[in-house]
Amino acid sequence: MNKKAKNRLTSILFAVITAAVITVAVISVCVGKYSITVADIRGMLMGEQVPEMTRRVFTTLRLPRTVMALIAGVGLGIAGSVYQIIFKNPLASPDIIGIAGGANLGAAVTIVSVSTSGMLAIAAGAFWGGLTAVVCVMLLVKATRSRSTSTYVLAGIVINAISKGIIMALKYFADPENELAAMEYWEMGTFGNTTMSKLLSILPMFLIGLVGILLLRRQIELMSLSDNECRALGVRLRPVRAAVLVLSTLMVGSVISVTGLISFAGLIAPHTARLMLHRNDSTTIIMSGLVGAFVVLMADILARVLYSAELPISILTTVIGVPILVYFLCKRGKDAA
Amino acid sequence: MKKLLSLALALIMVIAMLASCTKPGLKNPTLEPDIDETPSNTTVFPLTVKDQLGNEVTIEHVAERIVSGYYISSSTCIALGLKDKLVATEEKIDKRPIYKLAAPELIGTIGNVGSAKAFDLEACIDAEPDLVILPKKAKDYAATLAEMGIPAIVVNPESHEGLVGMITLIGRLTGAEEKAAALISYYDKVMKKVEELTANIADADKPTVYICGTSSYLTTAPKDMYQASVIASAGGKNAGDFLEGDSWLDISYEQLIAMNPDVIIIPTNNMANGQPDFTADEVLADEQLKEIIAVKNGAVYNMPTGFEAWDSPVPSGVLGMLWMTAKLHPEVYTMEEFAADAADFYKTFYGFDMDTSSIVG
Amino acid sequence: MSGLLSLKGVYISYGKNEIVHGVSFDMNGGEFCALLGLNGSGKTTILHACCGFIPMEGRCIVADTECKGLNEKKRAKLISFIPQVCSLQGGRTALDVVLMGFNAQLGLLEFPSAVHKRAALAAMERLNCAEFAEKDFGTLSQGQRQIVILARCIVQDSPVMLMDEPDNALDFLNRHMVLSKIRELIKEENKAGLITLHDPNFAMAYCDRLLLLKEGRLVGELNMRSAKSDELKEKLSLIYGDIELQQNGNNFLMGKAL
Repeated sequence: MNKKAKNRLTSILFAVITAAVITVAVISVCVGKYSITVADIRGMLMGEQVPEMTRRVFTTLRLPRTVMALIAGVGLGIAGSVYQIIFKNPLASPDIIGIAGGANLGAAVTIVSVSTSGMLAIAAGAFWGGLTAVVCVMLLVKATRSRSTSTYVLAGIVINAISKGIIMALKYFADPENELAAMEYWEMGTFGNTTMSKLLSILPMFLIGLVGILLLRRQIELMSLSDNECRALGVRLRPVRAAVLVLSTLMVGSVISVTGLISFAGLIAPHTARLMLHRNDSTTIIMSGLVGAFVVLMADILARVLYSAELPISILTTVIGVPILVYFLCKRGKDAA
Repeated sequence: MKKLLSLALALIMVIAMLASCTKPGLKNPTLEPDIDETPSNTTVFPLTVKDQLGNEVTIEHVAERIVSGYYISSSTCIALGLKDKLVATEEKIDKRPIYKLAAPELIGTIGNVGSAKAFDLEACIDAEPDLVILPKKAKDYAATLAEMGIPAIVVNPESHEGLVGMITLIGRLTGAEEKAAALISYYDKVMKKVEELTANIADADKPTVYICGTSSYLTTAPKDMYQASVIASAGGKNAGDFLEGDSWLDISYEQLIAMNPDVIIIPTNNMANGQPDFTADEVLADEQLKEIIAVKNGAVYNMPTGFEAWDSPVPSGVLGMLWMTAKLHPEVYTMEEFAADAADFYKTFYGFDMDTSSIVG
Repeated sequence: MSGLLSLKGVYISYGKNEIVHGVSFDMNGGEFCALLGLNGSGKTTILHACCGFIPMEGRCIVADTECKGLNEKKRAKLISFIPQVCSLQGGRTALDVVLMGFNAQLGLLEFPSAVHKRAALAAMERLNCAEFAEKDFGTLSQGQRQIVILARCIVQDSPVMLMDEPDNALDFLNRHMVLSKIRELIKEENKAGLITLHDPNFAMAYCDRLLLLKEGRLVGELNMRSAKSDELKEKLSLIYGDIELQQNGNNFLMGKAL
């Protein structure tokens, strides 16, 4: 394939996925138990008069929920792709360096120890838990004095295991009716409790993480080389890697602190993006963010309409993400044959 | 040395995190709502009350469209004669017997707001409520509703006092104060009656009662749990009284054999269809337990199913106390007497004729 | 003034295990040197220490600058490195790979400009590999890949080039092709090039000087321009044992004596 045709194909793919994300975002804004008609939404955007409650539902619940699903997908997709590149590990997902385990532990500790723990407190606990876990991973790597990237993966496994152990202990002693149920539910994730105030409280941290990652994308591309080759090309491996880890943690931590764990999106999106583009560079990172946004938005729509009550988001990200991944895997097999 | 330092730092971070999560000063507020000593019909609207988490809630007029977020508050609304005002309730009301018996017209016709944890805010708002009643688990949703100008109270009936507080609170906000007062005075009457019935029972005649959790018979109620107080009032000794805690605890076969209870009680499952996950026959057939007195004597009893979970603080919870008394001390209070009292309770407050054959039989 | 690259009393250890015991040598601009030795003699270790991958004692001076303790970026401006095989699995075009060479010259958040792209293409043209600039790096043969990496070295533009058996994965013809291009580059740009090789025949054919390394010590040095057959045989046999040497004009061919 020559250069022009390839570039055109890439542009078409980006156009298609962007259109798909916009479409599901629009559908997402229109779907919900409270009936808001398309005319109402148009009216609000035009600044016309609509019933007060309709406006409130739209601005405090509906719109923040859609935006939250969008940024969750973008954040998980991008972080997953970045981790797969810098850890050179196709199984890497945002969980790999302990963030999910840490956030889960932070949430669980808050649920058990703060008796009036509201969602904002749980979110704060989860956020600091995630960040602390990643810092612990980095300190652990430092303590081993090994400078190789694989040490991060192992340290992540250690910290995740410790978190799981403590969570298990907390669960055992938790009151099954309230605390245990709250912990289990947090692990499944939902966008049902997203409100404008929660969205606004995490948005700055998310944006810092996102912008930072996008600015560092050339360094991230370089980190797909072996550690030695990277250094020889003048990449300041340790500070750059630490910055990438902290920024991606901000991005993922801010999202899952509000929504709870969202499984698979961060693993499936990067693979799909790579199989679509046949490359593995910063365009793949951005494509992965868009694929993630599509999967999570779609999952959240289904979470609202499939059943009379809300379904946990993780069930649906798996249901939607897996067929997409399988399709591209089969397509690659056919292309290769 | 550097290695040690790093490890120490990591440890400090973890401790700091744990510490920051356990800030003092966020104590549970009082269970009792802040209400006047004498509830009367003179309540003036707009009315401001404190809910059971201590948050102030104001409603403009007597609540006419109520959304109830979980089973206990829904059942309370039915008991207070408010079923026509319910516009949406928790999910799966077709699975709980009380709705079929007392309010069949609600099933399939009113809104569904999900469960306490996965509360559906949009469905709730769509029902256009002027009062939303939520359990403690769903307090964040109450805050969001308040933000949107919809009055929402949080109730927390984890004990008898909490239950009474909840009934009083709902009564005031819905103009059902008389019905609420009647329900509460019925409770007082029952408690007094049970007290009198069991007053002369010698300590030696009080059997040791082991109450199972609904998911496994190796789960029991520790000292501070509501179920323990029911056993004590009904003239029994809770086998799990030496255990600390206020929620179901897992124990081992050995512990159960050491407790060697005279009676084993299997409560009705509060959730779903009322059936516990195991039967009395299974307990009786368990090889490990055959030396226990209760098993030897066949004294393993199911609480009656098909109504409500009387072992827990639900509006009909006093019936659990009466049933337990009849089961432990038929010499002072027979099952027939209990069946009559229970039927009277449901007729008075829920307006249906109870089929007592399963209880007496 | 010492040479372009000079190592002075270099000791390198893995943990408590000392691998290299006091190695010193100088190299001038335009000089292509081979570091010869058996497995475990410390060749690769010396290259890695110069690149800063592992710590060392002693001094490593490039163009009058002490390299020890420099951060990666400053060091990359002085020393470029060609590994046995490039660790990239693909997913980038060859041009992208060449552009990576500009990293040391770019700011942390800066991106290569059109000027950089033209320079990268020019470097590829110079090595006659511009035709696969837009091909995926992963689809190239090992020989083509090493040429692309050499182009990356050109744009990195450092005075010293260190190469760790860059011919390792190559077939016979590709070896000659890659080594001749490396030699050409070193001569044209007046760089100091230090290469480790397994095959002394290639070293004798392409390098100006051979540094003979045995068990972490330099045991001899051969200047290919002036060395005579006897001296070659004597010194090479320090490493390789009994050998036969054939002279063909100015070229030598070594074989193991059976």
